[in-house]
Amino acid sequence: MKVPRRGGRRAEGPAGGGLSGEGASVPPADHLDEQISSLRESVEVELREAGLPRRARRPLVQPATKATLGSAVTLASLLSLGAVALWAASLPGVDVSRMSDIGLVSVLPSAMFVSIAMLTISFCISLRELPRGKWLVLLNVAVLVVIVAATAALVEPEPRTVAVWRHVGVIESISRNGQVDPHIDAYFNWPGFFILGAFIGDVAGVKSAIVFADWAPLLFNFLYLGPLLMLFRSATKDERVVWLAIWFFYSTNWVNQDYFSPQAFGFFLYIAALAVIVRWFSATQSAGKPRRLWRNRFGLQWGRFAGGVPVAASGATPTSGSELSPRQRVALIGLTVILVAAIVPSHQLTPFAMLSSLAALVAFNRTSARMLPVITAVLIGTWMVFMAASYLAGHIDVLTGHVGRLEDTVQANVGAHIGGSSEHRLVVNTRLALTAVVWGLALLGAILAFRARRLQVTFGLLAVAPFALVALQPYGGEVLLRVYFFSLPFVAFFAASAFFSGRGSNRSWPRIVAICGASLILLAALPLARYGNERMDFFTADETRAVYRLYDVAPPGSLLVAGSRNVPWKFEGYEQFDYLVVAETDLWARTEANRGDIGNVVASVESQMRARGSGRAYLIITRSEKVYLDLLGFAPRGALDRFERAVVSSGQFRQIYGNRDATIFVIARQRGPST
Amino acid sequence: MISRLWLWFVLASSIAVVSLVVLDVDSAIRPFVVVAFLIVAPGTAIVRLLKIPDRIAELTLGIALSAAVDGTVPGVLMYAGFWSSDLALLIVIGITLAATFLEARSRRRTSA
Repeated sequence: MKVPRRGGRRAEGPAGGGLSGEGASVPPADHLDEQISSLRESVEVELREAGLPRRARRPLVQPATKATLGSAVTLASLLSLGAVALWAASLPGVDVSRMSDIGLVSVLPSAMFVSIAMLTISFCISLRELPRGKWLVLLNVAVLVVIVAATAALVEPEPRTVAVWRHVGVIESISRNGQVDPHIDAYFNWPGFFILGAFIGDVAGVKSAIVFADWAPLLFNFLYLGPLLMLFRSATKDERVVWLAIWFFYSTNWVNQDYFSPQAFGFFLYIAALAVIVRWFSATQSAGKPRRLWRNRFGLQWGRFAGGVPVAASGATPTSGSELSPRQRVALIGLTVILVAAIVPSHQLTPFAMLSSLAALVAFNRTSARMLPVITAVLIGTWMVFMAASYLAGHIDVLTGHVGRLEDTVQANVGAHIGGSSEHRLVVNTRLALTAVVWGLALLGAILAFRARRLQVTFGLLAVAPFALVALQPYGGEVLLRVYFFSLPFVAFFAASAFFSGRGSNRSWPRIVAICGASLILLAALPLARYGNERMDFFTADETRAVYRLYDVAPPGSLLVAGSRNVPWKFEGYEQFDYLVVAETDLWARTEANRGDIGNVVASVESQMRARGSGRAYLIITRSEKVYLDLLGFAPRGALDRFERAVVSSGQFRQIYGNRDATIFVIARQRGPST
Repeated sequence: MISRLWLWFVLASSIAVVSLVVLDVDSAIRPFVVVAFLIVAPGTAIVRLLKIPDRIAELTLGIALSAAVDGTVPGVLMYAGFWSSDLALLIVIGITLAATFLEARSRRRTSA
């Protein structure tokens, strides 16, 4: 039985890729305690591997400071329970109707922030006490996920974000028709997620996917936990780095790409596939010893920095590619190909992120799975040529017109978002600051790891590879958000490692206080960054009631007109209606730019609706449509209110439904010539 | 022991899911049972064949593979013009049971 050697300046050794340097100046008690805990874990793992019965696996060495640890864990447990209780108690006090342009933060009671602070302190204490109280670390992460991903669903009356309603509509269309018509729009050319939704919805017996759509962020964030654990544990056996990286991932995931969407689904499969590759197909594992890249050029042995020999976390059974049988390796590659094959038909962007990441690993000799990028490229090409051809034929300019035009992408992704009301600009600046802080921490972590010769080159590549997507196209002004999301696990890992580099015990209080401070800052910014657009993203019951009413009265084939695109519509009869958004017409843009007469826009809408025929055209104006234009600055404040007043005063429209937040108009009957 | 538990879990949950769907039971419990089965069972049954000595990795890959199988089977049926959610469910359950019995047989041989 081989027991890992511990102690010394590099107690965890380069082989483990451990980022927790422990220097000679470590206080003896802390150092000894940590060594004992780690040794005990290692021995238990060895015993488990040797197949000894559970009785023989009792801890061989008891920690010396059990009472102290117990009281710390008890305190952290109480803080966690208190945080949960405070959070739950503060939920009924949230009145979303009073939200301002800074979003959900404006209506969250202070008790909510106190609960987050208590949770953070509990997490930091439990992090210090690792490997004791692992369950408490997990509990704290789980509570954080619930607070971050479920608060909005609990306090808002209807499923949030317009895209969710649209996605539900695509699922309804596929389920109702039993086929995919690629001529409808892009969703029907990458329908994997929607087919899955239709299948699950049908067999689960739910009438509409909207029933569970609002809980998707909670589900997806819990699903992400497994791949993240696999990834981080393949890079270090220091559980503190692992759990802090996970904590940072959830604390800085402000991009809101985990809602009911193909992106969220694709991201789960993306990190799961990468977890397999990183854990079992690192090039160093198959080669038996680290490969050295660029040694002559830089005089450095990069392979040594990469933590190439796989070391699973304490408590998990160490498994490496070299320890797997050829049959297992082939099967795991097959499993990865299946995951990639499921990503390709589900989302336009994720397959390219996958390709970019795999290509980077192969190019820099970080994986033995050298054929995977080729297989991924073939799968992408095959899908695009044979299954998405009808979409490509009509949109080839859109897809290829921005390739290499970085200025367009940056303008669409950054410049275009810095606008709107002053409160919204505060939200945008917070997002930029949060991004800068987490990337800055990651850079610091990478530099410190590099200096300690423990840089995880694989993770560095995976953090950078998604940026290749920026060169392809702006993706509707969202590609940088997606890049942030794809790179976040690896950025979070480096950010976490920044706190465990250098000398001193990983359990030292100054280190834990620094972690706590950074976490509090990140989590203070997160609600503002993540839910900063909430005033337009949430929908009132009156709004959705109006849209349901719209679909009740409008026969298939009708023209449905809205002031802006931010309407919770298209959730049924997706392909059966024609849609027009007033604020996206050229006439609206010209009128607003030249401060022209809004009556011209009203007349244009009227003529289009009248051309569709009586009872076959409907205009709906809702609260969230107005907020969308005002908040993002796409029109002067109150522009849609003026349009609505002009509609009423024109005498050409008749209101058929109205409540506090929404109004539906049809064309008024023209009076015949007087006789 | 865990293997036998898993075998019984798959058998029982498969029967429960088929019963709920075929009888078209309109109950609040149906979505939870069906979704839980579809999220965990198909992929985990396959991944267990690999005998990965790490429970977290096994569960993680099991869920990911379940999502892939649950999406691919109905997708193939749809593009082939044979869309039927019930048929897709039967195929998914068939894959799950086949993988589970293969694993059980393999373990019996190993122990023998």
